[in-house]
Amino acid sequence: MFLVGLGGAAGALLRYIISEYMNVVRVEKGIIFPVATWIINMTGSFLLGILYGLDLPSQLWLLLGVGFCGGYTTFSTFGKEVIDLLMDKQWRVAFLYILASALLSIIAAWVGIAMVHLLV
Amino acid sequence: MKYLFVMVGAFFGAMARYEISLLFSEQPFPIATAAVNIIGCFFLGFLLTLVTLSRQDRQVWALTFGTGFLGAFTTFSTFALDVLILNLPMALLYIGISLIVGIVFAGAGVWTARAVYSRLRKTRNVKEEI
Repeated sequence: MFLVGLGGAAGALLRYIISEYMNVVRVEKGIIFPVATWIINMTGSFLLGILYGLDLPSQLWLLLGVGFCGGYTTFSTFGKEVIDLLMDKQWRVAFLYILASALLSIIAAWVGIAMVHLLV
Repeated sequence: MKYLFVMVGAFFGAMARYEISLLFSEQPFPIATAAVNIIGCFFLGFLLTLVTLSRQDRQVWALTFGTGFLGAFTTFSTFALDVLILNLPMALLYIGISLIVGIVFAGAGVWTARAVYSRLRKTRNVKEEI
């Protein structure tokens, strides 16, 4: 259980550092896209796919998969950002953000698994 | 120092998520991840709204409980992986529930925080008048 906590702490720290460097990107004037959370969730899903494909021993899976990837990626920030976009009446950006997050994270995890199966 | 707040929060957030996932480990549907993500959305909406409304600097709260605890408590990567493991109808149901209910709960958190805040302000103003 402590392995999960340690991995989670490391993952969250990396997430915080990334989000400090690039919080939002201006797509057009006045329109922002929460690119940091999006990149974090895509890369984290891809990494979790790789780890899953590797079929790690359970201790390593708890540290890196459940802990690190779980702590690195976040659903709550995603939800809050969608609400912020909706309250700002940025319907199109909100819709795009939801779609790009859900669809591409699933594809990223799939690519991660497929890559391991191809290479190992 | 900021990093420490995030890490301490995340340490407990990730462990809480794991403990909850163990409770539901025998379910065919990933109910634990869905529940954790939805609950986390509500509390993050609630917390960040209160922090924004507050007249004092509550950045430490946002970092420890928001970025740290709730950020690590909820997870997007497990969500993506769960979808691949489920069969198609279950996967679609899972995606729909997670996204729609999660976002609605984040909104409910924001709304609840605003209601709580305005009530607190009112009682405080009444006291000042007395």
